[in-house]
Amino acid sequence: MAKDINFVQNRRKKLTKDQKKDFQIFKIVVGTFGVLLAVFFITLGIDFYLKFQVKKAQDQQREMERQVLAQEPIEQSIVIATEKLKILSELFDQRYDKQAAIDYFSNIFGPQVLIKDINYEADERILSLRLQSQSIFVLEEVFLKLSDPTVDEQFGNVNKSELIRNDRGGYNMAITLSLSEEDLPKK
Amino acid sequence: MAEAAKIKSLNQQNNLKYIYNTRRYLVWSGFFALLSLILIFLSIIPQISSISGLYSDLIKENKRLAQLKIKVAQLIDSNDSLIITNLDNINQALPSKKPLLELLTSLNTVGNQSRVRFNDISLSPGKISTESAETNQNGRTRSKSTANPTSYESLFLDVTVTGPLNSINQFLTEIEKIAPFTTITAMTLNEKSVDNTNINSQDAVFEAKLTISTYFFSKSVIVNIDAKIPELSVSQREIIDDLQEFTYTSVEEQFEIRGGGLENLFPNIESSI
Repeated sequence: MAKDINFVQNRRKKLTKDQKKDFQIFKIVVGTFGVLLAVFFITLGIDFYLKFQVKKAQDQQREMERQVLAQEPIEQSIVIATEKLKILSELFDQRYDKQAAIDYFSNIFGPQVLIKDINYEADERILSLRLQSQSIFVLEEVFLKLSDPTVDEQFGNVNKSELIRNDRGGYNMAITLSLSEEDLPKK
Repeated sequence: MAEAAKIKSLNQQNNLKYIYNTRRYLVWSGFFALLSLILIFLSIIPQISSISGLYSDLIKENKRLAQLKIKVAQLIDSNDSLIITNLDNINQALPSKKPLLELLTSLNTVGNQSRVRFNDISLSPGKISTESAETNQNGRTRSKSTANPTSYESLFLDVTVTGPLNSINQFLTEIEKIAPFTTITAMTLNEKSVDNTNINSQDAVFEAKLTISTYFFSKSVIVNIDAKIPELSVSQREIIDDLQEFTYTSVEEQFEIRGGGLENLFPNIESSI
C-alpha cells in the first residue's frame, strides 16, 4: 500500500487558520461598515429634517413679518409715543422739583409774604426766589424759618441774600437753592 | 530579456491571485475598512457638522419666530392698549413740530379761565417754515435732554399778564397744565396799583412777567421689525394719568391760504409777535 505524502498539509492547516481569522476580521469590519452606513443614513435623515424645519420656520417668519409690516403705522405710533413719554417723564420730574420747592416755600412763608420773582434754571436745577413783605418782622420770621434744620434737610444749603427795603416801604429778600435729586421732597 | 519580464509579470499576477484566493476575507476587510474611512471622513463628519449648524440655525430661527409671534399678538392687542387710547393726549402734550399756534391757543384758553389780561407776548420762534427748522440759542429754541441731546427742543415765550393776585396765581397754576407741555422758567411779579399797600387785597392789581418754555419732539425714530414693542414703565403710566388733567385745545390744521375772518386771540396786544 502506497503511502501518501502531502507536502502542503501544514500549509493548508495554516491557511485555514488564517482564513478563519480573516473571516472574523471581515465580520467585524463589515459589521462596523453596516453601523457606519446606518449612521450615515440617520445623519442624512436628521439633516433633511432640520433643513425642512429651518425652511418651515423661515416661511412662518415671512408670514409674521408680513403681518408686522401691515401694522407698521401702529408700531411707529407706539414707539414714538413711548419716546415722548420718556421725555415727558424727564420734563415732569424737572418741573416737579421746581413746583415742589415753590409749594414748600409758599406754605412755610405764609400769606404775608409774596413770592415776587421766580427764576428757574432747568439745566443747572437752580431756583431763585425773591420775597416781598410789608413787615420786616415777617421777613425776620422767614429768615428764621429758612435757617431751620428741616429746610436744610429738604433742600440742602439755601442761600439768603439781598435783604433790602423797597421804595414802597416793603422789604425784599432773595433766596437761591439748588434742586439736587437727593434733597427734594419725595413725590 | 523580454521573456524574463513577461515571466516576472505573470508571477506577480499569480501572486495576487494566490493572495486573493487564500486571503479573500482579509482583502474584502481592507476594502470595507477603506469604504468605512471614506464614509466617516467624507460623509458622516461633514454631515454631523452640518447638523450642528442647522440645529443652531433652527434654534435661532425659532427664537426669532417666537419674538415675531409675540410682536404680532402685541400689535393686534395694542389697539386697545393704554398708549394707543391716549395717543392724542401724548402727541398734543409733546408735539412733533413747533407748537406755536397750539401754545398761543392754550394760553388764550387759560387766560380766559383765569380772567387775566394779556399785555404783551413776544417770542422768537426760529424758522417756522419747516418742522425740522434749524434752531439756535439766538432764536431762543434749543435742543436738550439728559438722555439724548436731540430728543426734544424747547421754545421760549415771554408773556406779561395783569390781574388780581388770585387770577394770576390761577393762571400760573393752569399754565403748567396745558398741552403742549409748558413750564414757567422765570417770573417777576409787580404790584400795579400803588394805592393799596396790602399785597393780599382782593382789589390789588398785579403784573406778572413770565418766561415760559414749551417743548416739542425732534428725534428721528426708526422702527425695526425685530425690535420688541416697548412696554410702559410705571412712571410712564403715571405720566399718562397726569396728562388726563391737562387742558387740550384743538387747532385745525391749515393746508391752504385763507383770507380774513380769523379770530384775534389776544385783542389787547398790538402786533407784539
